[in-house]
Amino acid sequence: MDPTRDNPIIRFNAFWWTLWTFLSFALVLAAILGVIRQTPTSLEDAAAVARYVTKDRILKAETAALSGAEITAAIPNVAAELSSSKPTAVEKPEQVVPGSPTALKLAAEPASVPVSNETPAAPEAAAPVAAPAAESPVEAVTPPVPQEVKPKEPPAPPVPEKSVPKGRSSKPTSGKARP
Amino acid sequence: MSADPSATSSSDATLRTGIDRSLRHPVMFFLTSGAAWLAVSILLAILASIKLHYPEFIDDSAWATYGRVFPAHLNTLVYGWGFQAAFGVMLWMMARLSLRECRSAGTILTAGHLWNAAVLLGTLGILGGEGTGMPWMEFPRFVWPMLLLSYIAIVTWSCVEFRVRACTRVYVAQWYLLAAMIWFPWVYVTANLLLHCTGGHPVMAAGINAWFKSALVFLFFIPVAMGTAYYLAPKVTGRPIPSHTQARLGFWSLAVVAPWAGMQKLAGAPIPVFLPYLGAAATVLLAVPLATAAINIFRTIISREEKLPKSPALHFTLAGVFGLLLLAVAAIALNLPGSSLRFTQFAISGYGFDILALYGCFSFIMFGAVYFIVPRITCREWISSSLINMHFFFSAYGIVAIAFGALFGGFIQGSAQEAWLQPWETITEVVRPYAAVATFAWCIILFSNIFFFIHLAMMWLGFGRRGTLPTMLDIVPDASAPGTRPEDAA
Amino acid sequence: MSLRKFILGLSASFGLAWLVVVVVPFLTMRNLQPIPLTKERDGTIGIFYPKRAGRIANGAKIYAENGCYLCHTQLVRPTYAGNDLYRAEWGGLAKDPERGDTRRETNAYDFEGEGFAPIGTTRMGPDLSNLGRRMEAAVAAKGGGDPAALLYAHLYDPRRSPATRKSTCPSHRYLFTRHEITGQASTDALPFGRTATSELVPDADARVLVSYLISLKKDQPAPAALNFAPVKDKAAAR
Repeated sequence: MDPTRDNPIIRFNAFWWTLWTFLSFALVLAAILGVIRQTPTSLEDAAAVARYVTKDRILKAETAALSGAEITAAIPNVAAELSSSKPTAVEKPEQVVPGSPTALKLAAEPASVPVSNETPAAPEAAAPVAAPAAESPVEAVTPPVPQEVKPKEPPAPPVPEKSVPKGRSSKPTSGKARP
Repeated sequence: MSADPSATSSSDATLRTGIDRSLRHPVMFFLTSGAAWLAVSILLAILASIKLHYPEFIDDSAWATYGRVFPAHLNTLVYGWGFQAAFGVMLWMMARLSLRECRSAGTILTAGHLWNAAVLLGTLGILGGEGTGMPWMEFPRFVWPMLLLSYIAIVTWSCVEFRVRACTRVYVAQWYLLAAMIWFPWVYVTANLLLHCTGGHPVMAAGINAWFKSALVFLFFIPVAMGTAYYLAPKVTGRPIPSHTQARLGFWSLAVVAPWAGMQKLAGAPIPVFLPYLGAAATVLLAVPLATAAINIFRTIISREEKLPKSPALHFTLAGVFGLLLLAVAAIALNLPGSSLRFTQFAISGYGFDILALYGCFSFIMFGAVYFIVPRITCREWISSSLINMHFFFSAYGIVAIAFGALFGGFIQGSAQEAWLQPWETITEVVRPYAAVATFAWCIILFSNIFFFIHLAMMWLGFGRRGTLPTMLDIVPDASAPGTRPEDAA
Repeated sequence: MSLRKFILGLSASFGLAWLVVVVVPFLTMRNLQPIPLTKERDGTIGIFYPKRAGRIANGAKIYAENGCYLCHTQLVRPTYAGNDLYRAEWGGLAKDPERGDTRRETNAYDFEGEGFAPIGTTRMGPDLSNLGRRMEAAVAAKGGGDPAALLYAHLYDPRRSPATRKSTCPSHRYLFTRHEITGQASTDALPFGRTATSELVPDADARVLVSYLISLKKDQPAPAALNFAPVKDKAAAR
């Protein structure tokens, strides 16, 4: 074993040179792929470009015709209007649901003035309203329970003294521009 | 290295024995496990081939469906048998030619086990329905890094040995072996990185897969076969290679032409049109290096004709060299862009070409090397020349049947495919007889290899014949004793 | 020749081919630009986008796992490379009731959604580029029905139908299950093999695969830039 041809250092070098040689093209390829970092685009993405252009155009046109800011600004007023124009309770005996607590109460007290706390405009409040109404037989003066009102405090609803055949009462508060 | 009994023959012999002993376990491991995978591959080939003409055979199991069994056959042939035979032979030859003992037998053995484990997992993956669908790369995605790692752990030492070689002369065989060792990682990592780890255009991915398939054959298996033949022919006959210039021409023409070949499988596909036609032209031109090497080696062998009937290594090598010549002719015949390419592109001739390369050329030369190497590393002789004869003749019959059947049948099939007015049913009928021939041929090959497996196992278990005279094939039953000289035993 | 020259020679000879045949084409084709359509030449605007409807990615995976690419191709070659385009039902339909001759060769946008084009290795069975189109034409000729049903039947038993009696396609029975009929029979059940209490129904894998196969329709009109049909047919195909 001639030390000039075969010694641990030469073997060590040869080992690493061999490794580099084996992996040379792999490293070149990895470098190329790393440099050219482009994920392939699909036809779907390419077709989508036209759609996005159209979508932008439409959004612009819509915004120009109908500004979002205007709509947002008008919402509180409309909400106030709507809640203030809450329709009055209509008391029609034929509208009382048979079997409901109100009906039972009416049946129990046929003499007293039928006051129905049923407000068709606030059906979701009918249950809590009907419950306290069932236990307090005296009706009349108490206005409907506050929790049934909308978040914005409206002016006090008209007192449902009598069944006022008003139909759907919409109190147009004049002057407000309606969008 | 022509065997001249020089004054240093005893120290040479000691050196060679030392080399053989250091490599005994890794090389025997690769050869025996390779042979086991060969058996598996041939069984799968028979099963797949039967299903081509008799599809009702075991047709109710997902594991045995043609679409999984055939890729399993090809991949076990390539990665299970092909690579391990190549490892066994390359390790031994490089060590011998560099006159260096192997110091890394342990690492190599471990890596060999890892290789086998990876191939096993991959094969089970294919049969279980997790194949990738990429021809010759059907192992599931996690397998390729394992194979790459084992490969590097096995082969690096041979390159290091070459670098520190004690012999100043570099033999032709070493060029081919070194080149094959270097080319494979280049090809393998490129293909797997691009196909498994990066997104690209689907048709281009198919093209790179076709390139990989061709590169594996012509940049690994064929160079290993040629290198081994360039070693065995002069070594056994004791004659030098007739033309060194031809050997250089053969080597460099392979290096220049082979990397361009492969994409002819995608002729007519929507990829840049120069790619498939460049591939076809390169495959046709490959006939030059193949024929050059074949003729050179052939001339070496026949220059010492009386050796021929007796040496098993030489018999198999000569058969492999004929396979190489046949491959050269087939490379031209199958890939002419104006005429034959359109017929053979989607016909079984492609399979015939692959099997001719892998078995008809590469495996025959590997068998020759095995019959040469194993006695040297086990210090025993082959037990029976009739076992070797059976192996040889039946393998030869089998490969001729498959090669001619598939190549010829492929042309018939291709012509039928191109007859567009014919209904498709007639074309299925055309292939059937050739599929039956292929089944029969694989059965013969299995039969031949049974003898090989038995023989090799017995040698591995130490039941070889003790003695100084090597086992020769006494095919010509003449009274003259097999004249052996001391250099023949080395 | 020294070791260094040897390695350099090897690198140069391999590297040139590697660049020219593998790396540069791969990188270039990754960014294949879509073909813009123009009103004058194509009659419409946008890009050429041969969309396919179905489980393409999942189905391609099952197609690959079961080795369909070993015996079927998906490549209709131009006429200089093969006679595929002359067949009546491979590149499209020669006699489509609405569009006439819809046949065209495969182009680079036809494998959108698949990672690896299943071009195929041999043709034991017919090319499948327009299988969906063929199945629909077949059921239309019979007066109605489900093209998927034809494919389910073929996958289960390729040799059942008289037209494919000699087929060597493997039976993919393992993609189907026999299950009890509870309530109504399944609409996807195979028309044969039904007993009083059980029927054969495709598994999820079979459904996905058949969805992929039905999506195989590659005869959308090619854009003018890719239309290499002879001039008189171009006018007819428009």
